[in-house]
Amino acid sequence: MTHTKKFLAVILLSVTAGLAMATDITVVNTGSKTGGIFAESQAIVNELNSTGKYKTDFINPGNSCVGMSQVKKTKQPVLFFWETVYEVAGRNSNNSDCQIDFRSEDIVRVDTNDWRICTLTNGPSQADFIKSGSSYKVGHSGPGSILKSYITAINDTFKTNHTSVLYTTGGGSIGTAMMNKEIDFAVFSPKQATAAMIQGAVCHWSLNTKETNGIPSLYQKANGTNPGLIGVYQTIFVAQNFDVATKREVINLLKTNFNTPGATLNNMYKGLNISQWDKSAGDIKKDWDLAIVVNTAPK
Amino acid sequence: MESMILSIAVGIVSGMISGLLPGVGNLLTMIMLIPIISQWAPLEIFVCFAVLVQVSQFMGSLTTIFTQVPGELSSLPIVQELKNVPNKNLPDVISSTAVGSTVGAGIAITITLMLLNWLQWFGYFFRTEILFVLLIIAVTLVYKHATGSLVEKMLLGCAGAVLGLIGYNPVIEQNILTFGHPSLMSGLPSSVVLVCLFALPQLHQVRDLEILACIGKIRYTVSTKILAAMPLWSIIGFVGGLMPGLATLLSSQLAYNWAKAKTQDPIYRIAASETANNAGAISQMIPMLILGLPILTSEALALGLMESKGYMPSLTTGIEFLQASVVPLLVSVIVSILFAWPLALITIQFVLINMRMVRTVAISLLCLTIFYQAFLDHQLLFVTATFVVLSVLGWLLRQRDTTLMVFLFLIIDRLVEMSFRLSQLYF
Repeated sequence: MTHTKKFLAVILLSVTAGLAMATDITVVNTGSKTGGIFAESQAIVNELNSTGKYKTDFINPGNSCVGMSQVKKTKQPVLFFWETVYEVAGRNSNNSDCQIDFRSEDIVRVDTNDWRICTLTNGPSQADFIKSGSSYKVGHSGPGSILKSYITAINDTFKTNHTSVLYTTGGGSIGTAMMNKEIDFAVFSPKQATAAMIQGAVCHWSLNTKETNGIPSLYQKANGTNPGLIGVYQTIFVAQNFDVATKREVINLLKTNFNTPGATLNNMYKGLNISQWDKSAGDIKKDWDLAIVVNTAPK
Repeated sequence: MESMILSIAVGIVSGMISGLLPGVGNLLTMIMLIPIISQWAPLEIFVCFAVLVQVSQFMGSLTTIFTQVPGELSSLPIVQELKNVPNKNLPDVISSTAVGSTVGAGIAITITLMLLNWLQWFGYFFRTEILFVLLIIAVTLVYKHATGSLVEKMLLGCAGAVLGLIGYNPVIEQNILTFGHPSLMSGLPSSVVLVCLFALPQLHQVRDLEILACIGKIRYTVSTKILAAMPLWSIIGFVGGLMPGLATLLSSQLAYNWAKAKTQDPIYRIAASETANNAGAISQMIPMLILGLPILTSEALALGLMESKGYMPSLTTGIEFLQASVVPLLVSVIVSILFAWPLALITIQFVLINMRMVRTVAISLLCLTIFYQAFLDHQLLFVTATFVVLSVLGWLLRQRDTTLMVFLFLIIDRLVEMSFRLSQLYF
C-alpha cells in the first residue's frame, strides 16, 4: 500500500509540474519516434530554442493519431506536420482524432512527394521495366494496398507481370533488398530515392503527373490515359493558434534555416526541390484534396 | 581532437547512466542527449552513440548481477541463471562477465576491421529468407529451453504473440484489438510488458538478495573452459547483432541457448550471453553505417541525427566511420572493464548497505523512467492503465517462466511481416 501511495504521489507531482510550466510554442511530432518527421520536428524545436526567444514544448507520442489529438487539445501556438496517408487512415477508421481540421491559412509549407521507381545502376533498364511481358519484383513500403495498386496499374497499362513486395520497416530495408537482389526495383519517396542514389541506385520512372527532377513520368508515358499511375502524396507543415506577427517571425526563421546551405533543415531537403512555402490558399486546398483522392481508393 | 574526446566522454558517461539505471535504455538516453549532440558533426554523433551502446552493455550486466532486475532484455540470461549460482561463486560471475564482454567487443572490432573490404556483401545477410530462418531458430531455442509443460509453453507463447499483435498492423492494414483507442495503435509499450510480464515474475522467483553480501573480494581469474569458448560466442554474437529489431537480444539468446545445450554450469551460460551481446553491440552498427539500415530504434534516431548533419550512408563513408571509431571503442572498453571488474567491489560496497533497498530503488527507477517518459509523451493515462492490467497478469504468472511469452511479444510483428513477404516473393 505504501508503494502505491508513493507511486501515485510521483504521478501527481509530475502532472502538476507539467501544468505549471508555461510554454510559448508547442511542436507536436505526428510521425514515428525515429522517422523523418520526428527528425525535422526535433530540428525545429532546436532551432526555435537556439534563438532564446521561444520556450518550446515538444510532444513526441510516436503515433499520428495521438499526435493529432494533442494538437486539437492545444490552445497555444502549435507547429506540426501532417501527411496524406495519416489523413486517409484517419478517414478510413472514422476517427476524428486522426483527421486534421483543414484550414488553408494555417498551412505554411507543402511538400509534394512523388513515388519513384528505382533500380541498381547495373540493373534492368528504363525500357525493360515497361516492356510488355517483363516480370520483375518491385519492393515498396506501406500503405501496402495503395502502393500495390500502382504496380497493378503499371501491369494493366504496359502489359507487364511485375510482383509487388511489401516492406514495412522503412526505406533502408527496401534499399538493402535491392542491393542484395531480393527485389529488382524499388518504389521510393524522394528522400529515400536520394539516399539510394548515393548507394548506387538510379531512378527510371516517377509516378508524378509530369517529369520530376529529370525523371520521366509513367503517367505521361501512358499518354495520361490511366490515373491509376499517379502516385503523389503531400506533407503539410501547419502553424495553428498563432498571432500574425509571431507566425511571420517563426516562419521566416525556419524558412531561412531551410534555405541556408549547410543548415540543419537545408541538409534534410538538399537537392529535393519538393517544398513550397508560399502556395496560395486555393492551390493548397485543391492539391490536398486531390492527394487524398489519389491515396484513398485502390485503383 | 577535442571534440572527439568530448564525444567519447559524453558516450561513456551516458552509457554508464543507460546501463546502470534499469529501464533507462539507449533510446531514452539518446533522446535526452539530442540537445547536446544535435550540434555535433556526424562522426562525433556516431562515436558518442557507439561508445554509449558499448559501455551500457558492460554496466547493464553489472546492475543486473547486483540487483537481479533486468535493465534490458539482453540481460535476461543473467537473471535466469543467477538463481543457480552458489554464493561463493558470485565473484566468478563478475569476472567472467567482464572478461567476456571485453573479449566479445575486441573480437567483434577485429572481425569488423578484417571484413572492411567485404562489407558491401553484408547486404546479402539481410535477405528475408536468411533473417526468417535465424528468427525461427531463435524462437525454437527459446522454446526448447523455457521451463514448464508443453501446454503451458504453448499457451504462454500464444499469449505473447497476441499481446505483440495488438496495434495497427501494416501488413493487413487493420487495427488488431485496439478497441478504437488511438494509443493502442502503436501497440503495448514494450518497457511496460518487460517490467510486468518478465521482471515481476522473475523477482518473485529470485532468492533472497542478502546473499550477494557474500561477495568478499573480486577474483581475477576466469576458467579456461570459459575463455576457450569466448571466440565462438563472439562470432555468434556478431551474427546475432545484425538481426533487425533484436540485435543484442538475439546475440545473447543464441549464445545462451548454445551454452545451455552444452553444460549445466550457470557461470558458463552467463558468460556466453554477455560475451555475445557485447559482440552484437559492435556488429549492429555496420548496417546502419553502410546500408542506412538501422537495426534498432535507438540507431534510427542516431542515424536521423547524423543525416540531418549531412551524413549519407554508403560503403565509403561507412568504412571511414568504422575505422575512426576503433580507438574510441577501445578506450570505452578499457574504461568499462575497469568499472565492471576491479572497481566493481567499490560499487558493491554501496550496494551492500541494504540489498533490499537497492532492489526497491532499481525497480522504482525503472517504473519512474517509464512513467516520466509517458508523461512527456502525454500518454500517462494509457501507460498507467496498461501497467495496472499487465501487473495483474504478471502476478498471476509469478510462478511461470515467461521468457518465451516476452520473446514472442517482441518478434511476432517481424515474423508476420517476413512470412507475408516470403509469400509475395515465392508464391
